[in-house]
Amino acid sequence: MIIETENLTKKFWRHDAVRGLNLSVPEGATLALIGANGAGKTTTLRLLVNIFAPDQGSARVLGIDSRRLKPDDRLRIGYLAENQALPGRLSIAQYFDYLRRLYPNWDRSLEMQLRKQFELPPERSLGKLSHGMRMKAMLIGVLAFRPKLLILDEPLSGLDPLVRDEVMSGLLAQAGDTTILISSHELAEIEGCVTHAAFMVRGKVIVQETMESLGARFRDVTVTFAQQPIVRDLRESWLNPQAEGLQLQFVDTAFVDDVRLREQVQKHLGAIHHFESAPLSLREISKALMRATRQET
Amino acid sequence: MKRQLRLIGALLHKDFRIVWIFALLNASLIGLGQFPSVLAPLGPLGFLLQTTIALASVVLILVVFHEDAIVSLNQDWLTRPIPGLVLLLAKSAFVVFAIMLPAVLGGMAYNLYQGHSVGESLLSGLATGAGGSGLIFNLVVMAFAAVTANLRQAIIALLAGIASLTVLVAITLQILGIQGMGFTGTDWVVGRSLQIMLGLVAVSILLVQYALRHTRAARVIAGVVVIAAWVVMLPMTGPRVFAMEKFLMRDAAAAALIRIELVKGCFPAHAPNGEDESRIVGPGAFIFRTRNVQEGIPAGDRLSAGPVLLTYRVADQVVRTLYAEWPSPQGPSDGGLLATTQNWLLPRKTYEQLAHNRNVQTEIHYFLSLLAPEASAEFQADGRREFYPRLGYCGATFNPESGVVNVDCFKAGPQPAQIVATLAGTPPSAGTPSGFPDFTPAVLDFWGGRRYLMRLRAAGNGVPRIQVTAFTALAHFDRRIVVPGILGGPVSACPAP
Repeated sequence: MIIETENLTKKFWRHDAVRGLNLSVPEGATLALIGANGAGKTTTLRLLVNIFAPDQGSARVLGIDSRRLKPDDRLRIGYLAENQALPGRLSIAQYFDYLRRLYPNWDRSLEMQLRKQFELPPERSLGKLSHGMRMKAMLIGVLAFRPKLLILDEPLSGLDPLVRDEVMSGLLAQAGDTTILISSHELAEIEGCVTHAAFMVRGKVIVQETMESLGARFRDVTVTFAQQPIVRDLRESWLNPQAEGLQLQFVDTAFVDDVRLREQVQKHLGAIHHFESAPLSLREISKALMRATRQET
Repeated sequence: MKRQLRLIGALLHKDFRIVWIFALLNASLIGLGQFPSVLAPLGPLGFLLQTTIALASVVLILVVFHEDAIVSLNQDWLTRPIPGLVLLLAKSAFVVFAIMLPAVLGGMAYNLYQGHSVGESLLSGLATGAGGSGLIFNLVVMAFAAVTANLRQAIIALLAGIASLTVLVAITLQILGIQGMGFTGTDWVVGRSLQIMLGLVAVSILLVQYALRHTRAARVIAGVVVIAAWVVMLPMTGPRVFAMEKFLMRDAAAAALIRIELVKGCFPAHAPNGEDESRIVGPGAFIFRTRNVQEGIPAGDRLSAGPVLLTYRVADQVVRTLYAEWPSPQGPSDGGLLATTQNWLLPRKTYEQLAHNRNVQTEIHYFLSLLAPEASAEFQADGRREFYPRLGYCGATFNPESGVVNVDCFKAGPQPAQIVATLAGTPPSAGTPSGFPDFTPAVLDFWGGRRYLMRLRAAGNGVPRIQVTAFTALAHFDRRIVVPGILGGPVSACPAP
């Protein structure tokens, strides 16, 4: 595992930002860390790169306890956060001059290639860049030393669709064997490139698995019954049931196949007039999980 | 090591690229500020310029430190392969190059312009640009920058700090009263200790922050140390400070032979003369003078009279204590003995309160230091400067029209307690001292340097020969003299004016 946390906990005064978090990111994976605002995603990422020290539990990053990460270990870890403070008075060219001297493993040709691809004006100071350009500059700043692990905190937030595509394509084109942990609300944009997803709710990971497995077991189900169904004591794996007249809609989180699901519904709720199930996108899965946890609260 | 130097170079280069205009302007002003001949004619503008330079230097340090703030969660450097201590070294190097080096070079340039040798100019430049006080000031500002996240926060913290300090000082003065003031020459006991403590605390805060990145611990250190320093300094009244110095004195026996006596008779007293003096003295007070003579001072030695306390007692109860803060100049008395004079101010109400009582006694408490010569040199007042061991670089100029001899000595490293200039052939006791003595021990005074300026008068047209003597503190001691009455005798014999 490139990242492995065990019971990771961080408190700010009385607020539990991260509560006993267990997360594993296998080598070569691209894992999307998904959760509502305030779920603890940013705190988790900061704990992983030792910006914060955990109150309890531990995190191992590249096999090293996060609290013992040395500056040299950062030659293999790229971290990018939306609100990262850059030296605003440096021009883009000066910024890369500076970064180049920090990394013995800096790939100058990759830097130049990405600068050309992103069309960054070298003389423009970082403080005067648009948000999109700034994110592109930061992305080059974490890609050009070819890190083994990339941790990205909301890299697409506030970007227009065109820039999002550019950033994602730049990321995908250069990522190679890099393991990526990405926290983002722009799920539609990242869905195509992530291999794993972890959903966080109130400081804990409630679901973590591969995209294949998620796609296979989550289904949006719409059933029309012959008679008015009595909607109660539904299976735990059926989330967010919404009944209207003869129709019931819910999300099945343990889908195997249509025949088995149809049988289960019929057994629980009565004769079915019409049955329909459809796969869910990452965004829809995320919404379903968030809505379900909100209802639980 | 090579990689760390490379990182320091990268950080330094980046910081200079960011603030080079500000740094260049500030460096020019710092350099200019080392030229007293430029600043003196400017009057208040010169003072304004000096204040601006100090403020600009503080802001520059804050800006550069906050550029890669340690108190931050989103600074770029936090995720880069930069060790904290390397960052601290890079920022310290910036302070050396942008603030201390211009001061050293400016000081050197001014000395060279004055015609001083390269050696003296370099030492003098180092003393002004990188001397103890400047170094500690920079360290404190660096530590302050290390516990704040940005300029706005730093300004708020600074204003809060100044307000708290003002309250602490006001409380201290209220508790200690006038006796809390430092004694002449003994200021180092409190002053230098505070300075050294500030330096050590600043270094601790910087290390805690940059090695461990523990802002809360660093802030706690800062807060606890300020309060601890206040608690320790609070009981340090003048007599206690003097007692500490006395404890450290080298030769107690040397002081045993010295006798101090009051000049016999009533103390000369007079009502305030004119409106100005009345305004200073206040309504209903009058002035009186005491004069003492000193015997038994070894030949060649000097007696430095510190402050004097005058206490009125009735049946061992203290009624009132008066305080003469500044000693009068020492000079020969009528009988050829050394003498000092103190002027006192007595409120009429206190006098009347005391005058009713026949048992009133006056106790005068002198705090004194015996100084012995440790090095001496003689030279013509022809403008030439020479290096003299344990005296430093000395020279003198003579103006035949006014008869004024200006003596100028610069000493680097450990300092003498006092330097006295005389016309050759006259005793040092009759000479002009460089100012109030300073008894800072050499071990605490090793870094930096001090310039001593003395002015003498010489008769005749020939270039006079000057003797300069460096004195060291031999002993610190105190003497109490008790006389009956209020003004040197019974009220009937010595009435108030």
